[in-house]
Amino acid sequence: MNQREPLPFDFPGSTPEQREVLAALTADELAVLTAIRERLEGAADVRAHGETAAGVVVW
Amino acid sequence: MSHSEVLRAKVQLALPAYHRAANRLWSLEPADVVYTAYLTTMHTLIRATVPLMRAAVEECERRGPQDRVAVGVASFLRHHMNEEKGHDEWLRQDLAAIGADPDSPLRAFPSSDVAALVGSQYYWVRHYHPVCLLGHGAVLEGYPPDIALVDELVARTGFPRAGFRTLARHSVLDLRHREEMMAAIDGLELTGELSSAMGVSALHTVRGVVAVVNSLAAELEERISEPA
Repeated sequence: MNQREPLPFDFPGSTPEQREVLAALTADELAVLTAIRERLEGAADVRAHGETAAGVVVW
Repeated sequence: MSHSEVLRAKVQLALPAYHRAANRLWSLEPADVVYTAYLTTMHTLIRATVPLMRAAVEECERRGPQDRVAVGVASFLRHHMNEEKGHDEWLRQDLAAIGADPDSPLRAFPSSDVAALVGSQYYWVRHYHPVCLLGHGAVLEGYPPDIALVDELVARTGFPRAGFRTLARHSVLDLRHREEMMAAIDGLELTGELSSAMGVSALHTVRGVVAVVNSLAAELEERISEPA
């Protein structure tokens, strides 16, 4: 796994455990997470919904 | 932190995207159209579950006893595979119970998003290490729909409760499976590289699920908005 660049975004409200994990992410993990975050931040089509819609896939 | 705690913490960083995609899909109306399309899409995903686990066990066996991580992965999957058998058939039974054609998922071309989600696992299992599949499973079994969603969908669709057995069963089953999978992960002698590979696999699975669900939602939005 490659060494990574510094985090390109913040995680406000993250727990100490999450910050510990973030600091240890590899470049490969960070690349996928960044792609997800970019999609999330551009998600203007998201609508509010109740708390019951927490899951969507089963295996 | 244990291996499983680290893995779940990584997944949690991406979960807002997962939940937003779920909310987008479940907010759509008419819910009967949405739910029928959802079952069909889930079938294209779930029918690959057991074959994918078999492929992983084969790869573990090919690696032999000197790969202690593969031995542990195979031990878990051999047991877990039996728990996952027949879930594609549950989906077909749900489709029949709501008056839809239970064979429709078998005729539908699986989307490129589903192929990318599942196909990447075959690649990593065969060409890197089968432990990657546990990252995939940790996401797919880690955050099942709540039973309250089943109640809501029964009310909104008007379908009989018998058409929601897959969701209802998984809302309970997957919680137990999740604990078993986390225990199996904690029992592995993971190197830093394998732990990261499992993390990449898990995050890629979140991204894949978001793509599958958003594509389905977009297709439904287009279909619903068309004049009758």
